[in-house]
Amino acid sequence: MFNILCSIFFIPLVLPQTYQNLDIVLSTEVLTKHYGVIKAVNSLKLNIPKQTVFGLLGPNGSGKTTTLGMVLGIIHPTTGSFSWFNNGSNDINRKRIGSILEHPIFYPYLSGEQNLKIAAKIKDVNEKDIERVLNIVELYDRRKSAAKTYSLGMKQRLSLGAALLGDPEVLVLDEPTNGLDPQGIAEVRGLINKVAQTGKTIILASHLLDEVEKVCSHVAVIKNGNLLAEGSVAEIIKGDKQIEIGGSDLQKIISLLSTFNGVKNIVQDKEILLITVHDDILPSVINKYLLENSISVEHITVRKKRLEEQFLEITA
Amino acid sequence: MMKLLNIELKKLLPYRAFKIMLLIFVISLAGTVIVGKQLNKVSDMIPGEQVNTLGFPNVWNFYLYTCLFFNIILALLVIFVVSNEYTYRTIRQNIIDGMTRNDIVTGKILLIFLLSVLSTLTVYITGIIAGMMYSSSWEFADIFERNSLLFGYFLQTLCILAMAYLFATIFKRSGIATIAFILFIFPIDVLINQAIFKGDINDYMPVSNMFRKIIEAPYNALLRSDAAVQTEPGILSICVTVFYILFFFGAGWYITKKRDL
Repeated sequence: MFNILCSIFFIPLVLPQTYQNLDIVLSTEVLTKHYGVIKAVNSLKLNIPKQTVFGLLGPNGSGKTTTLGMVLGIIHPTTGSFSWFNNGSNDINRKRIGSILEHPIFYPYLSGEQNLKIAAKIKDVNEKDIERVLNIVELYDRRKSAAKTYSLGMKQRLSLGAALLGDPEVLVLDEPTNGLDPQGIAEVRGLINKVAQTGKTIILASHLLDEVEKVCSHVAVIKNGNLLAEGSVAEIIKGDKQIEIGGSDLQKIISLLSTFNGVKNIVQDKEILLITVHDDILPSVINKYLLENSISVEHITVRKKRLEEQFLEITA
Repeated sequence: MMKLLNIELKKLLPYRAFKIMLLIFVISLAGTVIVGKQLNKVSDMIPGEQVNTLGFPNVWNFYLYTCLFFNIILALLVIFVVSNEYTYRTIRQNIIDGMTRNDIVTGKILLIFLLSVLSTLTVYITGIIAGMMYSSSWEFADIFERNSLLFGYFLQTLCILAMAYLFATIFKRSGIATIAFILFIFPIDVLINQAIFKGDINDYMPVSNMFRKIIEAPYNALLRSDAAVQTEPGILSICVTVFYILFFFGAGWYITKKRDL
């Protein structure tokens, strides 16, 4: 009856907002964790879209791991709530998520394979999948050795293997390249990109900006438990930009540009001027303006803003 | 249920401390049976009626009472197994991988149950062997006399392992948990009872009940002809033991439920 009424009066049964929520893998609502007076996480509101590589950025001790700990069920939030797959905080959700939290965790006296068997059993994943993930993380040859004999890099890879068991829809990786050598870091990065291309959602917590910039499509920046910025990497990097100008008469350029609309700051760095301008100002406009004032520059280029600078700016 | 037990066994069976502890436990039992001859000699030295301590049916009084103390070995094993989950932080990973906190507790309770059943079975079998060895003549029916004491033994095992579980859950580190456990088993329980309650609550203290009441110390009763021999565990003692089993598991469950891991 209700359905019929709805269709008669053209009321959409699925409200636009709920429809949008179907594309959200994880959402948190005023998620808060206090340890006494210390506010580890403060009213965090996050929406992590499906099929993104979502970077959770923040300095050490900013609340990244506490946040992940809460959404993964090992830390009780002081207040607030979270929801995976629009299915609330049900324990069963975690079987659809492969996670690494902080250090690699294993039974040291068990072999890599035996450890994965336990993880597979918990996740209701067929033991046949173990061989596949061992090959992905290149530990198949060492599968019979006790986990305590593994190097840190191997342990990291083993936990990545455990996270990949059962081909989960979402991967949660907390500092996955910690303790790896450059080659290992490149491998993990390659693996993340490969997994991301299969349409999986990856949530990556890191303080390594370079890492996040290279693999993430979206980021959230948190500091002291507060969300400072959230959006796509392009959006976050957006803002003011810097233009480098080199020429013979720098003093004249400074005096000309200091009155130019949209220029915010000029700094002289030896033979180069660093000009901070509004985001929509192109170097060609500046070049043209200088030419009109009969000054030709030898060098003009946009200095690409790195996530690192933006991050330091946001968290300052 | 079977899945949880299966996971626990996957963690436990390759664990070296588990094999060593089990070996010590079995050697202790076998040793008791073998030195049983000496126990008989001790009883010879005491004036009065001669008692065959390890023959049927006295074997259940003497042997089970001795074996109660060997359960401390199994209790230490439980402390190691439970505190390992905290020191290796695997309890975290188990939950992250999809177990609920209830699953975590249930798995350990099932494991403790299994250990108690195995301990009781081993003691039963070795007890029967001892009875056959030391009875001058016996009939098949003799094996089943005073067998209800085995039920008392089973409950005591469950209770002491549940207590070990709670201590390991509270302290998280095997060293501290072991020390606290041993201190509680030996002086603390008696001190609380004697110093605070002047011995009035002897029957209601967990350790006193476990080691003195559920299976009574047999020496007095059997070596002096004037006292009655215990033939079955007392109802009060069973109730007290069951209460503590539920309390230890319940408290462990509550802590695991509330704690940030």
